[in-house]
Amino acid sequence: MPEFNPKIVPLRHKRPHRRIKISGFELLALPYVTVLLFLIFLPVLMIALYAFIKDSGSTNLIIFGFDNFIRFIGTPENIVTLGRSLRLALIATIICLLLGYPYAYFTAGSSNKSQRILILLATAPMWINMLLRVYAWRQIFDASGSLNAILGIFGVPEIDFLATEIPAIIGMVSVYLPFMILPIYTILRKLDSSLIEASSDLGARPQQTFWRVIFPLSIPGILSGITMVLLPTATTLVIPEYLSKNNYALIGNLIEMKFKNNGDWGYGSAISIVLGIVIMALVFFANRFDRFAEVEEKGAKR
Amino acid sequence: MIKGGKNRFKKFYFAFMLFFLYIPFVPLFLFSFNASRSLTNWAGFSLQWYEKLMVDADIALAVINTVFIAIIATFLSVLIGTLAAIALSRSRKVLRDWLLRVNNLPIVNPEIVTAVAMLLLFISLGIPTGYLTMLLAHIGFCTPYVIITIYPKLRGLDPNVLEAAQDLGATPWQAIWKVLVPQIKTSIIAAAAIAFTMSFDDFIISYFTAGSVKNISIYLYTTKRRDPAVNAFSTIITLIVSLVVIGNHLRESRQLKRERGLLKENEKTI
Repeated sequence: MPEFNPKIVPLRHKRPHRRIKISGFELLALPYVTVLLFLIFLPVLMIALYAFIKDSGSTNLIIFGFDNFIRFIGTPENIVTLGRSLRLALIATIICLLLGYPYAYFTAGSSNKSQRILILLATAPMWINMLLRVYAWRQIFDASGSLNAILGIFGVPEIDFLATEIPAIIGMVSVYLPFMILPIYTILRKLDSSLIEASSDLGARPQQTFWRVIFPLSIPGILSGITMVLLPTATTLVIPEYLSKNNYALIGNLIEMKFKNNGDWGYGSAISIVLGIVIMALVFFANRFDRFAEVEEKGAKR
Repeated sequence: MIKGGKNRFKKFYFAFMLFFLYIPFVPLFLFSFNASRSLTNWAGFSLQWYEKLMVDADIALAVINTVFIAIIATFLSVLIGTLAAIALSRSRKVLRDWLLRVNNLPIVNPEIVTAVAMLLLFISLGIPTGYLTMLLAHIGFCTPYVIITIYPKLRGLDPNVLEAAQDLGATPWQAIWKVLVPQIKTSIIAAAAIAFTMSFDDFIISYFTAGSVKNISIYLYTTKRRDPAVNAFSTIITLIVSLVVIGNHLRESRQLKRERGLLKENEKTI
């Protein structure tokens, strides 16, 4: 906590009791600092502690080591699971981008009234509990679900959709699509229309204007959309549980299993740390890419 | 303003997207009114699953838990977050930067990592998991979002206004309550809405920290999958959400129209 420093404060020394000094204002953050310390910082510290604790065979003795991490890397199935999580998340993110960009683009180009309605239609499902939406897809893809019932009318034999990865990908896309549409739309809507006019005045065809002017300017929106979709899809617990046959299909389910069924906390913590680091690295690279875009922009201005 | 592409493609595209976004709800609604247990074969109209829902004590308890926790967590996280945002907007840069960095941890961290971390903390401190730990966890993940909603708004305000209020004789608390808070009212409401929905819909963090307590999400996750009563429950939730969302949209539209009307009147008088 800051100490009272008369050299800084004397401006209003006539009525010191009336004025909140900087330190006084900082005191308002005390409950928040407590929350940050005990509910955010300390838990992360605990996870690190558990991950590095080695089984010493005695409760009085604590030894640290990389055992849990070595066990994780040494189990090929885990690496496969992590790889599958990232691959499915990446596919879902790309589909979200391909489907979501036109939505944001067309919406930004509509009248104010249609803009509000189109954004409302895209975001309304977000307010409904995610488990319910995934459960709804499950009823479609189930072996005795709606899709098979409809296909059955046309004489198609029952297909076991849940044995494939398609339902999980569709589930990811439908749940996280709004997170791709919103940031791109926000950027496109704010785009300076004089830039587009200038581009066409200077003889660019609409397509050229799009690829050379509009698209590069929307990259920050795309990147935040990618982060907002990639992060939850790579770590999802619910979607593989409902939309695939293999319950422990993705890394989130693996962590769940270690904590809920096995009580293998140290190992579960190690997996969580690996996952956290991988995800943060992805986010970091996305942001770096954004910075390159900024630098290019600045360079172009000169 | 961007000019849209070919009209026919655009119409087809939007039709496809809306189909994709809303098709899952169709069987969900349909089979909540089914007379049989089947989720594929229509056996006639019936409200039996809604009746079953009304007498289901587990669902009722899950709803009560969810609402109860969401209200308390929202109130406390908005209170803590608002005070902190005010403090941060006036604090030294070093402190602010550090706090905002820690603040971002649960936002960039995968939810499941946050959940596991909180569970480990409660276990280590010997706090039995239940209502209290669930509430603490919810405060923990809602508060950072309150900060990132309110803090940018505060930074955009003129800092001299608060000083002026104090110069004119307001006590510090009066200055905050009567001058600062009204200026950030909309952000506070937005933060409360975000905190409430996040707490209300949370699954992963509650699942790990609530012990045997069940909120709606945990109930759905742990209950038997193929139960038409769950369809009935989903239909009710979807209906409530739709009404709130549409009501909100209409209110905003009316407000916009009124503002535009005022603008036009002003132009006339000028």
